[in-house]
Amino acid sequence: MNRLVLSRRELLKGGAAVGAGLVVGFRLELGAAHAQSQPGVFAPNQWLSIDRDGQVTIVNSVPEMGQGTSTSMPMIVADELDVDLSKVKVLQAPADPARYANPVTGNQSYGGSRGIRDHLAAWRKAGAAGRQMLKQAAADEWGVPVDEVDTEPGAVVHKKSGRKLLYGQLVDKAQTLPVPQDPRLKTPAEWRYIGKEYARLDVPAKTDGKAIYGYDVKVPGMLIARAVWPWSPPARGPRSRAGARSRSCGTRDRWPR
Amino acid sequence: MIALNINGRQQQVDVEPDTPLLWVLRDALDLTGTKYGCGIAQCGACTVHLDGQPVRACVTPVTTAVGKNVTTIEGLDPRADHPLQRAWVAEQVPQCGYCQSGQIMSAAALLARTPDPSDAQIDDAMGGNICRCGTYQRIRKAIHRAAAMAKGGKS
Repeated sequence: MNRLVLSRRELLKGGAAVGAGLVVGFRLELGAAHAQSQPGVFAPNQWLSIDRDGQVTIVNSVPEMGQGTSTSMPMIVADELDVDLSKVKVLQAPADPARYANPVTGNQSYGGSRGIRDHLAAWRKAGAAGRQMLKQAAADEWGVPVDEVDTEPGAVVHKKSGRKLLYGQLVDKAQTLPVPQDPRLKTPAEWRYIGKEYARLDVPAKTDGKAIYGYDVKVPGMLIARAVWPWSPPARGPRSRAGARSRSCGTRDRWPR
Repeated sequence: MIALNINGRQQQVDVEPDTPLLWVLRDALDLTGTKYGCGIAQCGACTVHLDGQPVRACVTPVTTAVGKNVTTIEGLDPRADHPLQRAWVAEQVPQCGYCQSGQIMSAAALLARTPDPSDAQIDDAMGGNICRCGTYQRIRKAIHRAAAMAKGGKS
């Protein structure tokens, strides 16, 4: 885990260092011998999980600031995983640099168009690793070679025998498999979402007041401060007005006293 | 206690009478869709309706709203299905989205009195709503689209 403290300068040393940095980040997080997850949930890495009902959840680890990452990130993972993006649940990652730091900068702050640039390789691998494990699980189930099976959105298929298993049906089996570190990625011709236009997932909540911004969050016991300004300068401050009624309406305290 | 009618519901709030309506909505009533932008009625992010008229909630004392119907972005349409909201999605208007509640409330007041506004009428009515992302062209298109929808045209 000490790779995480590598500075960006160290990662940038040498010609192919940025690429190597991405691989390091990926290996770090997907390096476990087996998928880490709770029973009934297939979670090969920190960015995606599938439950027994087939519900796919993708965790976007780049903050949405209007640049569209909460859509483009799931597009990338859903493409490589081969699931229908319209059925995916998208969550925003918590503040947790150990799991969600940018693999190039090593921290979880964003700007400078780094979101896709720094994560594309890791996210594609994250989705592709999940898809490969699901394919393996189905091949094992059917007793056929894994290169005979393919996927369609949300399912593994064996065309030869006409058999099909939904991702949700493969969760328990896939969970026991090792996480591949170098899964086969789709070719551009196979892309369903990458490079295409897709309606932004964050837009509806930005038209009905439901989108949550930093100062919309309330935590238990939170108090609200209010600045009371004098009506005109010069003034001795709001003392005389605010002070006179400072204990009304649940006011706890006032400054200056 | 101050009695208010917010989005068709009677509410009692325990606030000082000169509290701006914005903070009553956000802090006392948890209606956080209305945003604080400048606090001095210069940006439009806090726009709500008082009896259908667009006002800047950041400079409107709560007592001004007593006896009037207050409508916020949360109450514009019970199913968030107002023609403007559909048009905003169809045109993919918002970027960061912070100003858009105020934009939509100003646009709704415009369409209520001018169902099929010209570009000039839109610019005139929307001039007080600032968008730092610069979504003005899409806002204008979306207002035209909503006007057409309301007439039963394209959806």
